[in-house]
This record gives sequence, C-alpha cells and structure tokens, in this order.
Amino acid sequence: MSHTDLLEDCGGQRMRGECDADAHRTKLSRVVFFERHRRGILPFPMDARALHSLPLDQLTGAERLTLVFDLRAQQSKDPILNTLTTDAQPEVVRAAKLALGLDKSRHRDRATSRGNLAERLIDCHALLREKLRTVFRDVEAIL
Amino acid sequence: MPRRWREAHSHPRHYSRGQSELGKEAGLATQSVLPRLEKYTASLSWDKLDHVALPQGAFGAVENPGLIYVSIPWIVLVPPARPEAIRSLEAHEIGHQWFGNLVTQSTWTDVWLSEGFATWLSAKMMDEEQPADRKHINLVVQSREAVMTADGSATSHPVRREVRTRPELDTVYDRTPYQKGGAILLMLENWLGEDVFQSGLRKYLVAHAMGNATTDDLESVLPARAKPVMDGMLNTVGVPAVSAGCEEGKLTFTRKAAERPGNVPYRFAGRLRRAAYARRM
Repeated sequence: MSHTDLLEDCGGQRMRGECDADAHRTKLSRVVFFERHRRGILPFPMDARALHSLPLDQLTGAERLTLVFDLRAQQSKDPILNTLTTDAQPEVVRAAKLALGLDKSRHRDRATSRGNLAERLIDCHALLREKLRTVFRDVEAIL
Repeated sequence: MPRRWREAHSHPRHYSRGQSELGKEAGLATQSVLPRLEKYTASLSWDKLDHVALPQGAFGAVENPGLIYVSIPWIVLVPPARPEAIRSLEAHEIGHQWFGNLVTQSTWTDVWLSEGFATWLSAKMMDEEQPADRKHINLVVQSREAVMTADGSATSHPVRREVRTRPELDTVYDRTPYQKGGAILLMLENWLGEDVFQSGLRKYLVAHAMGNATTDDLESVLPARAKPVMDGMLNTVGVPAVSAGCEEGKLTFTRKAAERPGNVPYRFAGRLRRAAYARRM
C-alpha cells in the first residue's frame, strides 16, 4: 500500500499524517477511520456520525478492539458497543461488555493475563525490592 | 560461530533436576522461538544457549549471554499453565540476547532499549503464531492498552529518565520501560513500515555489537522523521490525545495545544476526493 505524507503545522508543533494515496481518487465518504491499523499510542475519539459510518466488518480484530478501548476510555455507552459484544474475537467481546458494564467480574481484562510477561517480571521485581528492604532493615537493627 | 553452535547443540539444553519431563516444553519453546528471532535480527552471537531452571531466584528470569536463569514456576509446564506463556517468556529472554546482551544500553536512562525491545519482540513472535484475523490483538492488549490505561497517573514517569539515587534505581524496572517502551516500538514499526524498521534495527545491532548504545544511536539508524516522534514519546509522561473530525468534506485534526512536545504519527483510511486539512487551535 502506498502512502502520501502530509504535514500540517499545528501551532508550531508539526504533526504528521499519512493517508492512502488511492483515497484521493474516490468520492468523499462519511467513513474516515482515524489511526488506521490502530497501533499508535493515540486515543482517537470519534463523533457519533463517524462512528456509525464505520464498516465494522472491514476492520481488523485489533482495530475493533482498540475502538472499544477508546470508547471505554471516553466512558461511552454508544450502541455500537452492543454490536461488538457479539464480535468474533473474545477480547473484543470482553472489552465491549466491560465498557457497557455488563461484565462485573473482577478478572483482569487482559486477553493474555497469564501470559503477560511484563506484569510477571514487574511483580517479581517488586517482591525483590520488598525483600531487600526487609534485609536492610534487619541489618540496620543489628548494627 | 552460530553454525558451530548448531552442530554441537542441535537442541537447546535445559537442566531442571527431577523435572525434565515438565521442562520439555521449554526446550520446544526455544526451538520454536530462536530461529524466528534469528531470522528477524541476526544469528545468535554465543556458542550456546542454555537454560537453568532455578527453584528460587531473585528475578523471574535473567538473560545472561548464552545461559538464561529462569525460576521453575515460569519455565516448567505445570497445568493449567499454557505452552504459549512459556514461549512468550522464552521469546522475551532470548530476545535479550540481541537487545540487552549483544547491544547493551549505555546507562539506566535507556533501560527501555533492553526491556522495551524484549517485550515488543516477544509479543511480535507470539503474534506470528496467530491467524490473520487475530493479528496484533495481543500486542494491542499487552502494550498499547496497558500503557494508555496506566500512563498519566501520579506515579507515572517518562520511559527515559535519569537515575541518580538508589530509590530511583529501585523503580528502573517498573512497567514503563517494558510496556510503554514496547508500545512505542509497535507504533514505530507500524508507522515507518515493517521493512524499514527491521532494516534500521539490524544496522543498530551491527553498529553496536558487543558494545553500548543510547536512544540517539537507535534514532540515527531510523528515518529522520522518527526522532521527533520518539523523543516526544520517550521523554514525556502520558500519551497525546488527538481528535479528528470530518465536516463538510474537510478533515480536521486537533491536538490539545501545548499538551506535549514532539510529533504525533497517525494514519487514517477513508474515501476522499481531496485531502483537505484545516487547522483548528
């Protein structure tokens, strides 16, 4: 897929956008999906019109999931979330239910909680730090 | 050297007294992950790659060059543990053989060059095992969403920060360099393109092999447009919020003024007759 870079100077801070080159050749549609591929760390709020114009069936699972996450971050209860509670991907279903308050479970809403390596490493480091502090306290008490 | 290693050790060795059966999954995981990591980066630089499963260890796993220590509960397959979790762990620790061992960050400030890369590489390797309709879901959940949920709290700090005191050193290995570091790499790969990104990383590994590197060194092997984006993301707490609208055929992107420095990369898809941008302050 080819892309054309577009630069917009925004208040002295340059912003970079990329749009599909092919898109220029066709008629304007209400459907504009921001942050395509949804792998940037950017929350992209969408207004209701844009939201309901989205062809959900043409979005990838990851795109649908981040869409739900962004709606949840906005505390939105948009009806599109109801549609996504029947999504093919379990992570999307779970996130949509959490966003709608339908899933009250205390379980972590991480698709791979057991396999979340980073969390396990961090927990382990925290445990180590705590143990070291105890040791230092004991040593200080002895001294 | 890698060829010699392969000839001598066609199968990675794992030692875990009395738990060899349970440890088999770790061996299989290494065989699954290592060739894919080598294909993405470069051949392994060490003569061997052993694992030792320890009953108890200070850390869950430590990625010594050619000899990875792993706590037993992390590496042996005790039901209901899943083989994927062990493969993910293996991908992380073996990923450090390049990012952390072959090239080591110069200072604590750049610990993300080790942990962020290992986190991202692990998720990337696991993602390769997913069917097409599940691509990037794990990455989104583990990195992007985790960061966007947690970053910006009172205790948040930038990915890169100078460490001057022992208490500060205690928090070097918190979530930020792992998850936000990984998420930034995910974003850069998507934005710059997978081939461009991979090519840059290979140059970085070659240029600094068996040595130290900084974030500047990494930025220097990527396209110039990456630097302002990386600096903004790595040196600032939180994530940028960009709102976009489509009104009367005109696209408007708005970022909260002076919210944070640096460029913001984004992509959009749509059917447009012409690209019309407007500035709204």
